[in-house]
Amino acid sequence: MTGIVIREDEAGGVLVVTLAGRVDSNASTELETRLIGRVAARDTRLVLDLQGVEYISSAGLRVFLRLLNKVREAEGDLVLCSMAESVREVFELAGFMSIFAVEGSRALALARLSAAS
Amino acid sequence: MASPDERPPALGELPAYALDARLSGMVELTTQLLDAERCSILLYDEDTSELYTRAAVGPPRGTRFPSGQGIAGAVFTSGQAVNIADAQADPRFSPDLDRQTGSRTRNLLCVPIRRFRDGVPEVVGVVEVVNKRAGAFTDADLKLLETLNSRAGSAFVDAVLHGEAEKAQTDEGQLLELTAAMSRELQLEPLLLKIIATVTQLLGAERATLFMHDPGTDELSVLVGQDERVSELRFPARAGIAGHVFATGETVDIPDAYADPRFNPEIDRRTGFRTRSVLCAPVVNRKGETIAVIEVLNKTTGTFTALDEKRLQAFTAQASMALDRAHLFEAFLEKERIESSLRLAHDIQMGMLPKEFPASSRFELAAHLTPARSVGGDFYDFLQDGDRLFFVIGDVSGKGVAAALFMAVTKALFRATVQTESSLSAVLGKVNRELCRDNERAMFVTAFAGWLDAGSGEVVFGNAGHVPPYHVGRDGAVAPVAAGHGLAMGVLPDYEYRAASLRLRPGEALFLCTDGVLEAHDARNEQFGPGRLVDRLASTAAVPAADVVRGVAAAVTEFAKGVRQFDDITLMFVRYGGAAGPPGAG
Repeated sequence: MTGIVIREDEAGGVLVVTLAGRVDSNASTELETRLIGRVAARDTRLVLDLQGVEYISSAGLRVFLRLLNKVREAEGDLVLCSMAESVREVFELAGFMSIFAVEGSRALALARLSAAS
Repeated sequence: MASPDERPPALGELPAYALDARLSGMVELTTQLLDAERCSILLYDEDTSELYTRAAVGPPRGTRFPSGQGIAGAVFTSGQAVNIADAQADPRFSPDLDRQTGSRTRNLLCVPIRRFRDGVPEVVGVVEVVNKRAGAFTDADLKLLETLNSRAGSAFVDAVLHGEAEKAQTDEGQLLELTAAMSRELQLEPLLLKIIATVTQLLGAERATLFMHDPGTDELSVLVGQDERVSELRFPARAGIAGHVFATGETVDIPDAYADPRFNPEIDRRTGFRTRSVLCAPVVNRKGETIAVIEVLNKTTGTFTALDEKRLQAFTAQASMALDRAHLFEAFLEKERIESSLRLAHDIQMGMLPKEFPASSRFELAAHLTPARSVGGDFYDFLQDGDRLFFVIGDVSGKGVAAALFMAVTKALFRATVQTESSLSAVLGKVNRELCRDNERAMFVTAFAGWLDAGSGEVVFGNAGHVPPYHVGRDGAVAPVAAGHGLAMGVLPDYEYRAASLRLRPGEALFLCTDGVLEAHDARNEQFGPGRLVDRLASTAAVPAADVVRGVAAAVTEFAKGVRQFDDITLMFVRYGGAAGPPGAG
């Protein structure tokens, strides 16, 4: 179990969270606490950079879904970016590509957020 | 008040009256046999590197002095016996000691006392015989003393050892008695209180404080109050005397706390207690990490002594073991809590799954679920209503009790809805809306549901974010069914599920599974994957449904042998037999 690495950066009023590793049941508890905590602390404009994520389980998807709900409640924005093919497949299978804003790169994700504001 | 002179020696202390009696007997005998004025047994104090008088006839030559000083010091250091005919002329002689005792040393014999520790001889002290009453000591006298010493010496060594053992037993006995109650305490918080009460009593102090280190915040936390009320205070791990001891690992003895710049009067302020003297030691665990600091406050008889320091150190070793046990016990309880919640989840999950499968000439259905140890939220169900067979397979996000409960709700919703709604998209829509209600945790479930018309072989189905099933032809052709794919349920309440349909010809089947099947991996981290599954399904045309399901489940288990199963493995097989019965029958 290598677990997950979570890094946070600020980019022009947007919180960019970079994830690396396996987003599975083990990692999802920590990830959920961190991310939901950020939204509660009024960080409601977020980019989730998934470039380093090699695997995501349904428990991981649930965390993203809950985050999306929280961000929407707070009238914020969430954009995912840089998904590996295997991660994209998991999102597609669950039908999640239609409910998440997904961009190919971090730059595109940030651009989408600044266009939305 | 303890003065430096009352500082207890390392050897044979405490109620070693028996030892004292034997040593006194020995010096008296020696004095008589050698016709001397005085005789002393001087022992070495490891802690201070001094020789001190343990037993004496006549005024001893100094009660305590550096172990290299004087003739006794020279004998102790060299291990060589001496017969000094004119002590005053000997350069090693210390006239100071004569001045202190007010007597004049003319001649003396001095021999080392040896004992064997782990087979190695070790000088532990000296016997000094002073002033032959008539004339000078002879070589015969020296020989006699050496003989006495070696014979009595063994007795002496025995006595010393006995005394040490006695002391150890007394100390240990007291420590054990006091710590026994403490050691039986496995729950952390009561244990902390017992440690405090025990050490307070052990050292004759007014109060004790145990600072536990919290590695998460790098703080020292304190349970304050010795009576009924207990509250917790927190400090940075480097603050105050406790912080100093935590950082350095040193034991510190502070006679006047308020005169010490490290003293943090915060706790006094909050508790109304007045700290005078402080003895503070680290509690180190088996890995050598400092896990806590014990502060003992206000020795009732004044200030703490070196013996108190030693006893506190012995005590912290006991406390450390008790804390280790308590931590292990907490971990065990936590594990038990998890295990019992997993058993609950497992029971919820397995208790809800039908184990009897419908048998009909027109269709066959079988299903199987192997739960993961951590229990996922997989399920399957079916319901026969005349010519129609409803079937569903699902997988709830996450694991454990939450997933099992969500699975139970989902399955119940499907059961209820299937009996009231006439279209599959309406069934999926209604179940979804219910699942979205009050779903704060954003649980979701993927499912594949279908209605088989046993008259025509038509299957109307919907896929809510689930792994596509496989169509298994009579010729062994296996193909995924990608149609009708929509969003997982529990996500968007207004989502519209679109049903799709296909027609099974007699002998054709649908194989449904959860991702636990495809993602099962072996020791080399290779996945079972669709390839192996399709191969396996290709040769099932003549195999009964129950055996197909059992065979695939066994193949997955065999493939992933030796690897912990992370996800539920669930599969279902539905074969159409034809309007008039199974192929070959009509």
